[in-house]
Amino acid sequence: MSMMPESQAVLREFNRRLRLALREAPNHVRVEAALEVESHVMDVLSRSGGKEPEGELVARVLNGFGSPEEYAQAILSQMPEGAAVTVSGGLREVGLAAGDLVRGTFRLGLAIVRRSIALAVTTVRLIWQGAGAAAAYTREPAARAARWARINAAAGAYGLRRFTRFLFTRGGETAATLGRSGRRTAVAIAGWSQAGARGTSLLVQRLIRAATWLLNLVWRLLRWTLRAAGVAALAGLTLLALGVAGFAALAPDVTGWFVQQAQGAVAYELGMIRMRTIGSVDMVAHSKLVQTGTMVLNVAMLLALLLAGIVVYVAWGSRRRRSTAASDH
Amino acid sequence: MEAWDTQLRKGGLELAVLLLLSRHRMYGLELIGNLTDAGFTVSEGTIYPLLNRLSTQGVIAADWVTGESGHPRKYYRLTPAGLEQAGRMLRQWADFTAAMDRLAKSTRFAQVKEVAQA
Repeated sequence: MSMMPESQAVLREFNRRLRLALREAPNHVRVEAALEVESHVMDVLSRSGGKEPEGELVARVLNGFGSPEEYAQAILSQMPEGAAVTVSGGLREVGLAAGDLVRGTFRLGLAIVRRSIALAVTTVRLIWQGAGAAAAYTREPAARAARWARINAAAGAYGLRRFTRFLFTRGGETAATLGRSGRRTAVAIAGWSQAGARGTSLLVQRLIRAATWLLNLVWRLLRWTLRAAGVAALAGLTLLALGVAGFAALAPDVTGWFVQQAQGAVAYELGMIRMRTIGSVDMVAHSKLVQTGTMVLNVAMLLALLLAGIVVYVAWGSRRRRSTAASDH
Repeated sequence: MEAWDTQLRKGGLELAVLLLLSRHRMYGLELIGNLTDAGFTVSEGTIYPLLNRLSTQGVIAADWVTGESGHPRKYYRLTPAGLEQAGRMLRQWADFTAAMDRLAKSTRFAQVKEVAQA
């Protein structure tokens, strides 16, 4: 059962306001409430079987919940004492999140280091194998051609000599002379083929050199592009982090609210994805999912701040070095 | 009078939900339908917060299930603790109604009886 985009928009708006009104409730309550409303609307729609216009039906069902704010109030009033987010509870959550953050960051760092080492080893091995293959390729045809040419020449000369000796017993010397000359011719042919092979080998070597140069150029271009993109991204992140930090310092309540909304939205989307793909949600797993989403968000924010710090430190250091160098001159 | 009526319905709703769930597991809309059939008028805004509270208290349990409908549904079922609580509440309800019946029978005011019968 799928909903029309207009109905989806109405439902999303209801759930957005509901989550907003439930900002004091724990994260899983906010998410669960929104999911429940969506599931109920889908139930009514599937039962109606298209007898009533969808837009009117959705509006009527949502009306049964009252306004999002009233519904949120009803949920909060039914919650046991102390279930809402308190300062001590919030601090405890922050402590737990900080622990998760440290553990997560450590694991992430470890994973990055391991992946980097594996990547470096693979790259070196591939280069080594490639170089070996290229070297073998450039060496072998020439050597093989020369060897074959020599063997053929010797065999030809030997056969010719035997043959002429057999045919012209008397003219053995003549035959031998012919054989010698044949041998010489064969050797000459072998020499030419060797030279040809050497020429081919040179050509291959040049081709490889050209390809290497081209690859090098591409790599350099890529590196410059990445570096430029990295600098731009770092600059952007720095500005963002500075903006966030400034905003957080000026209006901590508003920032906290934004963070909470973002976390709620992430958790809600994760819950919906899980419901649509897996089909069932048990609250323990869902809570873990919500925690993971929250942690990812926290890690992303911390990394942004960390990057900003590094950029500021590097920029400050290079400026100091430049100014010291200028004063030395 | 209207407030008293509302309070009475509210008080009885919890027991009604537990009794319905003692039959078999149900999802929200199914519960609302059964309650309506039994003579209770309940809205979504009343039933879901109540179900959430009962879940938190461990009286009922909930599972998300995707069945033939194709979309996930939250099914509610009675827990052993819920069964015990439903039994206790039913006894109290019986005592309460019996006490009220006794009072009603012993009343001397004929006018009250007339109104009640009407």
